Amino acid sequence: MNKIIMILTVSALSLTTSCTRETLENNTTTASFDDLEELVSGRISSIYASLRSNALYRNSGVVTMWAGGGIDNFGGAAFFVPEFIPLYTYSYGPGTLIIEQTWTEFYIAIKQINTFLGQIESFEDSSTPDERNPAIGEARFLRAMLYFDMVKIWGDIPLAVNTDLTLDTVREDAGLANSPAEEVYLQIIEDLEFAVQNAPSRIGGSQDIASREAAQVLLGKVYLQMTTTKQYGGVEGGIDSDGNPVSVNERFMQAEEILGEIIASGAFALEPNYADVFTPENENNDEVIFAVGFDGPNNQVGSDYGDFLGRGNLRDGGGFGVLNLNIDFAFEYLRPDGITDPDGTGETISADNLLLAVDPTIIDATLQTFSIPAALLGPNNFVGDERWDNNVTIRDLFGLAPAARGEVTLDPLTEFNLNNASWFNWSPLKYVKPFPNPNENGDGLIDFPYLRYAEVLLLQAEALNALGRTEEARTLVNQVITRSIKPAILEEIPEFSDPGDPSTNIEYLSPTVDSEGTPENILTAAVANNLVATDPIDYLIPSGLSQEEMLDAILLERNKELCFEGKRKDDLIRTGKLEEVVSALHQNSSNPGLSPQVPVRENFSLMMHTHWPIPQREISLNPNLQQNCAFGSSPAGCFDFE
Amino acid sequence: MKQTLNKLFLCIVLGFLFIPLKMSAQGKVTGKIVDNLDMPVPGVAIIIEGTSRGTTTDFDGNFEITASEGDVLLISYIGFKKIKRTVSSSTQTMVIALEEDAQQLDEVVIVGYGTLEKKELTGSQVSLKSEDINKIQAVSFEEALLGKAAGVLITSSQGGPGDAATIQIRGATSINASSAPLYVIDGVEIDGDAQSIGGAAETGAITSSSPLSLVDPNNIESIEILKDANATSIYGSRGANGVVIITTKTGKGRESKLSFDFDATTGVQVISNQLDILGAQEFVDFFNEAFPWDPAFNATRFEQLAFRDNNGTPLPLNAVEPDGTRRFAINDFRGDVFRPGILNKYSLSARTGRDTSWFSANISYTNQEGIVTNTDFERIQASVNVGGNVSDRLQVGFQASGGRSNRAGIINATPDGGNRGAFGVITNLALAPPVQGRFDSGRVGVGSNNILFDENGFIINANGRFILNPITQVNETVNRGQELFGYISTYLDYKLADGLNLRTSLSFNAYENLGEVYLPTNLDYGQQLGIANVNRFSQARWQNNNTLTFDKLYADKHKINVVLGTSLLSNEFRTLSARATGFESDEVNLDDLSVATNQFVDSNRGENGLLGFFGRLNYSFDSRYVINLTARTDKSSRFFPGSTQWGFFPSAGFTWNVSEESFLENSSFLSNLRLKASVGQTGNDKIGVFQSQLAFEGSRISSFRSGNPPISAASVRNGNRFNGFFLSRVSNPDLTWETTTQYDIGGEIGLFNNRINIAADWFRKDTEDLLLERPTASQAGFPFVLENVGEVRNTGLELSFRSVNVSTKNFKWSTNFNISFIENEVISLGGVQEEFLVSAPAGTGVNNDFIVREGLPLGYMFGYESDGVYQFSDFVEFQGLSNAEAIDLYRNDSNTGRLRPFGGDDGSNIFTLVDGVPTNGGNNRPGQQKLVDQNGDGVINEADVVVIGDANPDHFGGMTNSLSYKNWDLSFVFTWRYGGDVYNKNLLPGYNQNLFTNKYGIARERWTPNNQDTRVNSIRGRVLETGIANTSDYIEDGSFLRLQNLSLGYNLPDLLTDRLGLTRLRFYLAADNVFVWTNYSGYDPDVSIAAGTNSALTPAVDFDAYPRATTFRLGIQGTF
Repeated sequence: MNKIIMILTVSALSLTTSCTRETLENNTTTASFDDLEELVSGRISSIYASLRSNALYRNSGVVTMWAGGGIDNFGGAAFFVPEFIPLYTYSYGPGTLIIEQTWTEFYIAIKQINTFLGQIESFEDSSTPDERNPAIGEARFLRAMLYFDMVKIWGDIPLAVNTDLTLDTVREDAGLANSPAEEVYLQIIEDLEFAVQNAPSRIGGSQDIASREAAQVLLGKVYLQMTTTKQYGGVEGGIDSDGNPVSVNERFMQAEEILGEIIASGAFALEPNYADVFTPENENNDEVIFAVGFDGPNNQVGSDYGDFLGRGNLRDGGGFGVLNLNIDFAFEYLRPDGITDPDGTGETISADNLLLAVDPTIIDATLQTFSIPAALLGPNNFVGDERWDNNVTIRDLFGLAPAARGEVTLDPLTEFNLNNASWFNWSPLKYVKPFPNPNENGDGLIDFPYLRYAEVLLLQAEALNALGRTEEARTLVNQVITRSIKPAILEEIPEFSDPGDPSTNIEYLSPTVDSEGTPENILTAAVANNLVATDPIDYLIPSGLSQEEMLDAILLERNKELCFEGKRKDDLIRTGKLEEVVSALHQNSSNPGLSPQVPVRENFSLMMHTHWPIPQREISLNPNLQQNCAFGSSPAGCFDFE
Repeated sequence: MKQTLNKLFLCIVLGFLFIPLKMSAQGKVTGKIVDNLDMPVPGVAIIIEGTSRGTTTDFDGNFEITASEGDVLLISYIGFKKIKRTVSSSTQTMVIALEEDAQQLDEVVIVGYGTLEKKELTGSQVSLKSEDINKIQAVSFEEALLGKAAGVLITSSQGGPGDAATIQIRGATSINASSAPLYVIDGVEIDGDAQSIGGAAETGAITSSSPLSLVDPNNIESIEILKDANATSIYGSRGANGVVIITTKTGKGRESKLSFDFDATTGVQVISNQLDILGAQEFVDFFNEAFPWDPAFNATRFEQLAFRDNNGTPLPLNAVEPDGTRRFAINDFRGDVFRPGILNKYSLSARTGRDTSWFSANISYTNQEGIVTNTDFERIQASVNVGGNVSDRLQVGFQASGGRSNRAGIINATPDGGNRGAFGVITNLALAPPVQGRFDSGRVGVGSNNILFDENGFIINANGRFILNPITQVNETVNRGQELFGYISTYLDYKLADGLNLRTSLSFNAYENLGEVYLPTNLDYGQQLGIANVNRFSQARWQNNNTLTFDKLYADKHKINVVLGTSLLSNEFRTLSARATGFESDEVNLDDLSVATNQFVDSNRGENGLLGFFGRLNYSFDSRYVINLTARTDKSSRFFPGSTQWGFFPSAGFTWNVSEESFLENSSFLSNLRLKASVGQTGNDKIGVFQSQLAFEGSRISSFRSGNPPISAASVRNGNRFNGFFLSRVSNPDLTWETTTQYDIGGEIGLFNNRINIAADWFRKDTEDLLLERPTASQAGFPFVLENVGEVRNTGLELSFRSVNVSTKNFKWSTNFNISFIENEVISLGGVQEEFLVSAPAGTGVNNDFIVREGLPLGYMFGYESDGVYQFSDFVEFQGLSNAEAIDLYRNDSNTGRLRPFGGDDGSNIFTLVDGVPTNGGNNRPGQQKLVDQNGDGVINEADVVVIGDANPDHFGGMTNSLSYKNWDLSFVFTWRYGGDVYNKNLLPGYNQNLFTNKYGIARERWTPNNQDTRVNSIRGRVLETGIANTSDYIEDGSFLRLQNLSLGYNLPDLLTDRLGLTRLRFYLAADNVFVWTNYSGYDPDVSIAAGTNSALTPAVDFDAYPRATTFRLGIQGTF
């Protein structure tokens, strides 16, 4: 009997202890960040990690869907990705899933920052401002970066900055109404100004850490973007912290001043070789001011740059080639070379006739690719701009990426195939994986360059030009162009005699089942013996351009220099050129998926397409949220950009 | 192996033979017990009333017992009415005839934490005895239960050996939590959720195994299925999905006779059904139609020349090369991969004991070959049960059970469904081209590298091809699983006073599984050069229950049964997973992951506890009126510390045994009539651990597109990697239980001495405060917050019917029949959203194919409604053309003069739709799939997606007929389901994808200019433009009637068994899954590949599922 009572007592005791026991699950910590250092390393890492979301700065959301969709960098997806299509064809609406998911990912990232700022406040008594402020500066730079991209994409958005860590805050924030874009910009400027004062320095630091210099450049860019006209959904200068309007000219001056400081500091320089800007071995170079850091392999912080912006075998460093290249964009590199200007008159060719107007010996309009001889000789040999080699690929081949890096030699006789050369298969190629590639798909180590010195020069050129200092602008742009001019190119398809029978000329022949192609040694010799030195004058911007012409030239250079870096649509909106560019798109230039090929320009409307709509899911969950008037109204009303 | 086992048996048996079992012999009353046919009945229990003294009859029905004059003998035997006889003289010889009782109301049944007499029950519960389940000698527990109990829906996941089935009692109650019942095996409470073993995103897990594989069906004494709240509320927070109480056989009451039961079965399994796929010539014809010969168009040359000579003339399948070898390899892979599988099962048990001490041991071994090569299942399981009375007050029991199973499987039902070319074997079997053409060797560009051929000349895998060589795949992929399980439990039962007992029990149970998967380099899955996964899951639980039971009859009329108790449960699990990719060679992989280029490890741990206090008062007045009040309060560690951790679950039930009333006492035909009603609340605790707490996590799932890998919170700064923590959840102190309120009204009637029994139950189950991820405006940083919102309702009617049709001396025939009608409805999703979409877990190329919507049941399929195909008449260009002109326009490209590839469906054809014909948004052309424009806006888009299927059956049930004639017995079991749809997702790869694969038979009906009168789209006519979505073409009626089991047995006559020294010997022949009557086009309509907690949301999906076997078994069972 006693025994039994004891058992019962023991049971009763164990009841109370075991049910109050703290437990952990799922790699979760109930987060006792005991000291400041632990908090900063644990939570700051997660904030940077948020940027690696596919929706933000990995490969899809902001980088290709917003900044590249439906304009002239991409020609749609080679593989069928149904969710992407509305973004390319301007048929998106508040219900478009990708838009909603991108919105959500932005706010999840912002929540990480807000709560970090709250958590770090709890160390106010146990640490000095000098210990806390660099981390706060980094976090606020990143919040500014996220809100800046959001305000460009959506306009008036809810501004969540509450730093509490409670469910009540979650419920409160869920009901916030839109803040006018002007006020969002004020918050961005405030955060960046704090970062300029407090963030760590880039000099002697690392490209993947938010720095005070990065904050300066971003602030300059913010000022420039704030000049966007109301017609383009901009704030036309916005307001100052007292709520008074600021003129567009004032913003240009602010931008010029802060960007000028960066240039004058001499802390940054262009890499001598364009391709070197993007290689993982050289990622902490003097040109990149801030990059979203990706590192692989094997530690789950990798990127898929190289997987998706390029074609080829994953193991070899290429990718699935999800995105096609827009042919109009590729031709931009050909313009100064005279290929699209066969008669040398320099007249602009109408977009619809582009195909017929190019040199038929080099471009085969029927096959929609380079002619067989040009393709066999290597199309890159006909183009004088290094950036073409690095940004455009025209072949869909295994082992392409190592060939692009010069690590292996492609044998054109076996690799060339007409079926793959058609410009429906021309692909973006900027981020090339190393070879041999040890990385799994999605575990690459290529950074995403968010701010780099070449852009600083081009932004400053834009500001100077706007302020009427066109000649100063020209110098900066030419500085960028000069870096990429090749010393020599092929100007025409060389005639070449047959070594076996010197009396007959070689016919450049692609290999088929029935016939053998032209031997490689002949092709190599044909290139080597016929290169002609280039004249930089042909490539550089001449003096004497009007302000308007200079703006066009800057935009063209931005496109050639900064393509696939998530900038293009913002550039066109800021400069008021979006409508012009979209309506000039060639009818074949959009190829979203295998079929249908819907010309994007048909659906485009300036009023609707300078922004994405507020997602319908958010409207229905938050009664205080207003819709963008171009997409209808919500119970709370709508906002427009007038 | 068999020899080892025999030794093992011997050791166990010998080891326990020496347990001393004393018997006493004194002065005797002797007698003989016979049945209503004057046959002696062995094993009848005889107890002297008011004492614990008793005996049982021997094989000739004789007994002897010490008794004095005036003692009352209680004589009881299952299936017969209890008899009381007063001893008139101590030397009397009695002959007592038993009276058959088809429905024995005095029978004691097991209820939660106790026992009650059947007529004292107020809750709804189904009792199955060993006789009910043992006749068919089922291989698994689920098969034993199929079709036996009303309200219990058993759905097979797939047909592979050892594959789990889902058991759902009275409908799905939850959206986020599991709807699996709680199992109580000899007092040890075990979660009913099947465990998945191993695997990763691209490899898939082995189909999970049922926790019930612990139990050998042969060793089950009884199964109680507790269905309504009054029966289950004593299990409180775990009672909402019903409770299954399994009691195994003990040696109790055998009067020290040591007996052995053995059962040996051997059988063969063959595939029950083959799919209709294209034959070799049909495949070639299809292919040649897709790639017409056009010498001018060399862009598709290699495809055109696949089955043609260099001049474009189609080659016959038996064409020979100049050197005389055959040009094309032809094979039906199914012949190489499907096989007859051998099934062996042995079990042996030893039992002895009487009412004061007992012992039993059981061991069973199952070895099953699947019908697919290299799929095997092996299980060994053993248990020991000892107990006895230490004194006349104290009883002690001890039990141990454990076992191990090994499984070798194939990769099937892979979650990514071919996104990386990793289709499962079953799909590859159907879709591997039956003819190897020339094209793959001549390919250039994508897919030109790494082409490997097997010895038959078939491609193993070419980069870029979706379909793998099934023979290579079966032989070289590894998918192994091992499970180890066991429990130990012990109890003390102390009689504090007359009618007052204290029982305390303690149990430990452990479960561990190890899954190993390897995808070899030559199949080039995802170009990863080999993928290996090793995953371990282990779980340990302990539990302590204490009950105080008071059971007494006052004044012959007032029977009171009170149970008070506490329960404490603690559970811990750990997982460890390792994954590696990039192997230099396939020789060393799973045994040494370190040789791989990339390695990943992850681990996880969780722990939770539950504390419960419960009580039950059962009061019966004169056996006529019974009232039952039950309540339990549970505290769970899963909720935020504070009041919400506690849940209270009360219930009340009332029964009126009408037939006990005096006005019916003398009814000649009505032998039993009971009416009962109950109401109560129960909970569901199967929600993840610690969902109410603030949490930071090392990684998070991105909300951007599905299928992206999780984002790690780590970052590299300045070249150094720092681990990070995402804020993943803020605390929610309000979070609490899901609560189910259930109403049950029922009754049963027994006629003609209970030869006919009819029972009916109506119930309604309202589950409220569902733990749902309530959508929140994402601007708050969380797109969802877990809250208690939403309601699901299940309403149902269960009918069962039992009859003894014939009962003569030599011939008996009885029938059991049950049918259930259950309706499920989502009443509310919390007011914020009216619906959300769910994706089936495999074949993820098509997603969002199920919908959870207010007002609809769970398990509704979502997609486009098919409207056949576009015809010539739908297009402007074809108006007024003759058929020949139309065909010409369709097939020839007017720009180039070439024949269009893909039978004219190359995608470049652009035609204008006649006004009023809805467009799918892209290039419309004849033969293309046509969808119904639900909103009439002329465009097919997401707005036209509707509900297209319902997985819920209108009714389901089973019928068992048992016949015996002299020494022969025969039983057959039918099961059916009527009205539920099956989502045959196989049709997506089976017809619509990838031209280089073989096709299902449906491809014969495809639209071509020469075959326009059809609803099946042309070669490439699937409408991709509107997004990849499910269409009603894939929804099929899954109704079926199945002859589930047919068993024929022969009992050797006593004369012979005696001579052999045996008590009993039975030979039997059994067949499982004998025949299925169904219109379903796939392997079997009883399929549902979804496993895990929300499998109730995506039921009845058939994708790459292991086909069902028909099994023929020959067995022998006996007792000695």
